Amino acid sequence: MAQSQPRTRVGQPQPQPLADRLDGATAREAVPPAVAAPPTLGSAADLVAPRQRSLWGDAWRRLTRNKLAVIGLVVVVSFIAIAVLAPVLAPYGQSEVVDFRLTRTEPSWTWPLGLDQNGRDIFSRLLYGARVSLVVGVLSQGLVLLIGIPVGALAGYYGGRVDNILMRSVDVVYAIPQLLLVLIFVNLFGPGLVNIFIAIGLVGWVTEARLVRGQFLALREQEYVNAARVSGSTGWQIMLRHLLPNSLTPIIVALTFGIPTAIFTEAALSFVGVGILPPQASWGQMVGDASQPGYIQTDPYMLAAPVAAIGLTMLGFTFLGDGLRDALDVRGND
Amino acid sequence: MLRYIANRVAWFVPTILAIVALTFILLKLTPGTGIIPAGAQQISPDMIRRLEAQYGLDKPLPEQFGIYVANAVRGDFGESFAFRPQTVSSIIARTFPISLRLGAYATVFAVVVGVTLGVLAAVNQNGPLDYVSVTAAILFYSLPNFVMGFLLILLFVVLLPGRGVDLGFNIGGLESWQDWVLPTVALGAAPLATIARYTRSSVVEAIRSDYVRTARAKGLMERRVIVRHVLKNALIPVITLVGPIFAAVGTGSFFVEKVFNIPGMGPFFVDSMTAKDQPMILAVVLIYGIFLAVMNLLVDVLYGLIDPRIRY
Amino acid sequence: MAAKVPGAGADGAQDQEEQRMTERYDDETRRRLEAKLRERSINRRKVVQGGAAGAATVGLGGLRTFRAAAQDTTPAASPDASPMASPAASPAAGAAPTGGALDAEQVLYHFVLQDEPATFDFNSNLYANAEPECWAGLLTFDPNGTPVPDWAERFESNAEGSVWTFHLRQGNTGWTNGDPVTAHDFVWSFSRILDPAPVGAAGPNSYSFILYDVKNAESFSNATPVAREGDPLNGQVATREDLGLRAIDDWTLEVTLEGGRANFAQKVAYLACVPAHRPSVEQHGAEWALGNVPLVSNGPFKLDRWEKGVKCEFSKNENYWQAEEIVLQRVVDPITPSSNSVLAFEQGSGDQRLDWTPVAADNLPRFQEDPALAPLLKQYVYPGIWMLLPSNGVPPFDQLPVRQALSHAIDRERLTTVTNNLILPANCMVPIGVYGYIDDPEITGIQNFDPELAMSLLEGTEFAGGQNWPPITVLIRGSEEIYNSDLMLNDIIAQLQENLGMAIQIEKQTGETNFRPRLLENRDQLVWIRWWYDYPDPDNGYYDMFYGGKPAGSKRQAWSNAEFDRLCIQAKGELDPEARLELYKQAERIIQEDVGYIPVGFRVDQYAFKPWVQGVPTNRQGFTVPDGNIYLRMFTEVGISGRPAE
Repeated sequence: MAQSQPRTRVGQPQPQPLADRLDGATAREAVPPAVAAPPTLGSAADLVAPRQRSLWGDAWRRLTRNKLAVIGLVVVVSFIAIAVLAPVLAPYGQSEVVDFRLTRTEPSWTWPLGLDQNGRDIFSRLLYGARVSLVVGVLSQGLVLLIGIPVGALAGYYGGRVDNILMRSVDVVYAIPQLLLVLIFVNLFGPGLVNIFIAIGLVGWVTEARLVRGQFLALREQEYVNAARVSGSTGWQIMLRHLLPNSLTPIIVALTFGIPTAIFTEAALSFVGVGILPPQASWGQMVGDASQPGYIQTDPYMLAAPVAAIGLTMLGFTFLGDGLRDALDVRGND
Repeated sequence: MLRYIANRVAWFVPTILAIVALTFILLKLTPGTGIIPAGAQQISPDMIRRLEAQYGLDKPLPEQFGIYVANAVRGDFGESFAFRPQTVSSIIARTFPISLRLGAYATVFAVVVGVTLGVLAAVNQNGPLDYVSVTAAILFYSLPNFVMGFLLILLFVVLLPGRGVDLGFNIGGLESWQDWVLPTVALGAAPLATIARYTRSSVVEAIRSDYVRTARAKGLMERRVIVRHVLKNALIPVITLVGPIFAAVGTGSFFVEKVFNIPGMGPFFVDSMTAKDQPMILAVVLIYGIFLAVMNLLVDVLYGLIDPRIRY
Repeated sequence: MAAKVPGAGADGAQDQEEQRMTERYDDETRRRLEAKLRERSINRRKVVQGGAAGAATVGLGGLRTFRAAAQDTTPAASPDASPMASPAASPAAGAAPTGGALDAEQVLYHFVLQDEPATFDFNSNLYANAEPECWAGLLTFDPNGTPVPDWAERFESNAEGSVWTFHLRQGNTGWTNGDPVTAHDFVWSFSRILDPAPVGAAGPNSYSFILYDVKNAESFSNATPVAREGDPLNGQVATREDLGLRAIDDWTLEVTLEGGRANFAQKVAYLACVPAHRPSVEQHGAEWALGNVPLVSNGPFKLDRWEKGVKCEFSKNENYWQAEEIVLQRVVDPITPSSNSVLAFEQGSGDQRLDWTPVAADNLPRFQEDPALAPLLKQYVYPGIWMLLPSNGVPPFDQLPVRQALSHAIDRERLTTVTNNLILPANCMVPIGVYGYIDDPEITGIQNFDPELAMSLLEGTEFAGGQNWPPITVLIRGSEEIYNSDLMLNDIIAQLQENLGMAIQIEKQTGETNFRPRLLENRDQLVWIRWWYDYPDPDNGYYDMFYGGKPAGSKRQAWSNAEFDRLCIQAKGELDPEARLELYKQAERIIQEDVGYIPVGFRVDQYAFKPWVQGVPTNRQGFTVPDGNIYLRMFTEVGISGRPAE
C-alpha cells in the first residue's frame, strides 16, 4: 500500500546532518541523533509520504514479521511491566538490608541475584532500578518533544530568518559534546531524579528539533500543504493538521532511540555519582557501587546484574527501534 | 564550494564564542566558585573571599568574561582551581593527546574490523557469515561503550581468574600495549558496528549495480570484480564516516576512560566538573567545541567532494 | 626501635605520671580490642562458606599483634607536649630493619599519590597532594603521634607555655643544595604561611590558622586590627614584623604566643608547618615547586623526577640530619587512584607498582581468605572518626527527643560487621590511641544503642511510633567510598528505617566546592561526615570541629553551647594533661547529652605490605603505622630485604 503513495526524495536539508545519519553509534556518548543507522545513506527522515490509518495495521504486520523487532518488543514490554510492578514483584524494599551479616552473598535460590555489599537483595534493587530508568527515559523524551517539536516546526515551516536564528542556537548547543552539557546541567540543578531527566531533556531536544525541521522543510512544499494554504488554513493549522501528523513516524522512531539513550545517560551519571539519590536504586549506581576492582574480582555477579539489565534494555529498544523504522519506512517494501 | 567553506569558517568564531558564553553563564549560575582547595578541612569564609579576589572572581560577570576571552585568545586559560598552581594548558597538553590516541586506536580498529566484517557479510549475503556479522554488529551497536567496557572486564575476570582484573584496569601510566586493548575495543565496538552495516549495504548495492553486472558479464574473476569494481566504489561513502567517528570517539571517551582508569581528558573532565574547576571546564568545552566543529566541516567538505548529489 | 630513648623531660615526675596514665589506657584499649577482634574476626558468610581458615588467620593475627604489644616494654613517650621539653635523642629513626640481609637495591614503591600533585610547596598549600617526606619542619611525629625533634634538636617553653624556644641543629647543611636549615628559614616560612599574599604561591594559605596561636598572627593574616587594651598595636593591623617570631641567632628560634598553649608542639610538628626554601621561591615564584626546576627541599628524601600524571621519583637527601641512618636509597611514587592501589600492589610492574597499600572493604575479604595474602595484612586504628551531625536548626531534629532517639537507634557494633572490622564503635570524639580518648562508661554510655529507648523517646512528639516523618535527607561528601562511607551510611539508613521508621535519602556532593558550602550553611537535616585528625590532640577535634564561637558561615554544625565553648578555650591553655583531659570530658558530656553530634565509628585501616618491606614502624599498641597524615617518617625506618628479581 505504501508503494502506491507518491515518493518524494528530498535533498539534504543542510550539510550538517551527516552526524545524524551516522547515528548514536558514533555519537553514542552524546545524546544520539534521532534516527539510527539506516542500511543506506539517507535516512528515514528523507523519505516521507502522507499516510492513512491503515498504515499502522500494515506497519504492525511488518513489525511482527521481524524476529528481532519482536524480541525487542518483548524486552521493552517486560521492562515497562517490571518497572510499573516493581513494588509488587520485589521481595524486599530497595534500601532494605536483608541481613547485615550476609554482605556480598552469591546468587542462590533464596536470592536469585545475590546480596550486595550491604546485604541488600540485588534482584529487588534491579526491579526498582527499572522504575528509575523508565521514568527518566520517558519523561526526558517528553521534554525533548515538548521543546524539540515547536522549535523544529517553527524553523522548518517559516524558514528564513526564524530558521536561521533557531538553527544557529541549535548549532551552538550541538557543538558542545552533549554529555558534557548534561553534566553541566546536573551540576547546575543538583542530583536527583527530577533534575536528571530535566537535564537530559534540555540537552536532547536539539536533535529532535533538527529532525522535525528537516521534515517540515520537506513537507511544506507538498501539494496538499499548498492546497491547505490556498484554502485559507493558518500556519498553526497547517502545522498541526498536516505537517505534524505526516512527520509522526520518524518522530516515533527517534523516540524509540531516545529513550534508551536517556536511560544510558542516567546510568552513566549515576555511575560517576552525580545521578539518582541513594539509597534509591538505579542501575548506573549499582554499576558504580559494584565496579570497584576488588568487588569485580571476588563478586562479579554484583556488577553482572546491572550491566546485563542496562545492556538488555538497550538491545530491546534498539531492536524495536530498528524494526519500527523498517516497518514504518516506505523503503521497507523494497 | 569554497564559498561554502569560507562561510562555515566564518561561523566558527561566533559559534565558539557562543559556546564559551553559554558554558560561562551556566557555570556562573551554579553556586560556589570552585576555588576551595580539595581536602581543605578548615577554611574560613574570609579566606574564600580572598582567594576569589585573587582570581578575579569578585569582578562583575561581563568583565570576568571579557578577561577570560582576552586571555584565552592569547592561549592563556589560567590556572586550574583544583590543581593550583598548575595551568590548564599544561594539564590539557598532557591529557588530551592520550584521549586522542585512544580515539585514533578505536577508529582504526573500528574501520579495519568494520569494513572487513561488512565486506565479508555482503559477499556472503544471507550466508552464515552474514548472519553472524550482522548479529554481532547490532549487538555492538546497541551497547553503550561503558556497558561494553564492563562486559569485557567481566569476561576477562571469568575467563582469567586472578589476572582478569589486572588486564581490565589500567593501573597507572599506559606502559604496555595490553593496557590499550580493552579500552580500544570498548570504544571502537559501536562505530565498528556502524561501519560494518554501512559497508555491507553499500557493497550489496554495488554488487547489484549495472557496472558490476557488466564486469561479471565480461567474464572477470569474481575476486577481481569484488576488489576492482565493488570495493572501490562501495567504500567511498564509508571513508567519509571516518571523520565523524574519530570526532565522536576522540571526544566521547569519558566513560571508557573512567572505566579503564585511563589518565586522559575524560575522567579529568568529570572530576573538574564535580570540583567546579571553572578554568578547566571552560577550556575543555572550548577544545572539544573547536575539535568537533573542525571535524564536522572536514567531513562535510569531504562528503561534498565525494558525493556529487550534494550541492552546497 | 632500638635507638629510641624515652623522653627525658624537664619535669620528670609529671612525665612519669603521664606515662602511667597512658599505659593504663593502653592496657584497657588492648584488652577490649583483643576481645572485640576475637568475637567478630570475620562476618558470618565467610565462616559459613568455609572461610574458617580465614577466620583463624585474622583472629590469630589480631592476637599476635596484641601479644607483641603487651611485651613491648618500651616506655611510652609523652602524649602531650605540656612539659614543654623534648626527648633528647633522635625519634624513632635508625631502627635496623629486621629479617634477612638487605638488598643491594634499596627502593620502595610508595603509596601516596592518588592524584597528580598540585605542587610540592606544602608551605603554601597543605593540600598539595605531593610527597611529604621531601619536607622536614622543626618537629615531626613519631608513630605514637608524639612530637619529636626534627630540624630542632630540642625545644622548651616557659612555665605558662606562652614562649617557645626551638634549638636547631647547629652547622647543618640540610637543604638539598647544601644551604643550612636555620632559624631564619622558619621565621620567613612561618610568616609566609600567615601572609595574606604569600610570595610564590597561588593564593593565601588556606591552612594559615595553624599558626594563629603566634602573637599577632591572626591580625596579620586576616588584616583585622588587633583588639587588646594596653597593647601598643591595639586598633592597628599587625605587620610581618609584629609577629611573635624571632631568630635569636642562626640556630635558635623563639616563638611568642598569644597566651599559654598546651599543644603548640603538636601544631609545629604537623605537615602544615614545614618551611619553604626562600632563595628558590624568590628566584622562581610558584614554579619553584612544580618540578620544572630542581626542587630544593630539606626532608629525608629529595625529588629527582616528576613525570606528570605517571610517577614521581625520589632519592635520599644526603644532607638530611638523619641521612646516615636511612637505609632506603630511592623511592618511587606511582600516581595511582586509590581504588586501584590494590591492583598496583598485586599485579603492578615496572614503576607502576606498590610495595604497600591500604586494603578497603572491597578487597579485604579476599585478602583475609587467601592464605598467601592474609599474612601481609597489618592493621591500624587510624586517628579518624565518623559521625552523624543532626542539625538542631532544622525539623525534625530541632527537637531534643528526636535527636536523642536518633543517637540510641544506631547499632555501632553492626557497622563493624558490615565493614569487616574497618570501623570500631566510637563513643567519644578522640580515637583510641590518641591522647584525649575517653574510656569512662559514664560518658561512653550516654548514646548507647537501645532501640526501645529510642522509640520511647519519640512518645509525646508528633513522630510517636515512628510515624509522620517528613522527608529526610542526609548530606555526604562524595568520593569517599574508599573509606567505606557509603557502606556504613547505607546500613545506618537501613537501621533507622528498622528502628525508627525513618526513610532517609542520601545527597552526595562531590568536590569541596559542592560539599563545603552546603555543610557550612548548616541547613541540612543530617550530615554524615568524618574527621581525620591533623595533629593528634583533642583541641583539633573539639575546638576545630565544634567550637561555636567561630564566625557564622564557617561552622560545620548549627549546634552550639556556651559552656562547651568555654571549656574548649580553657583547655587550650591548661598545661596539666590530666586536668586538661578532665575539661574535655566535661565538653564531651555536654555535646553528647544535647546530641550535638553522634559519634559512630573510629576508622580502622588495613594495610598490606610486601614481605620484603622491613622495619615498618609500629606504635605502642602494636599497630602498624605507615605514612599518613600525622606520621611521616616511614622512609627513615624501612629497608628492603629479599625483593624477588622481576
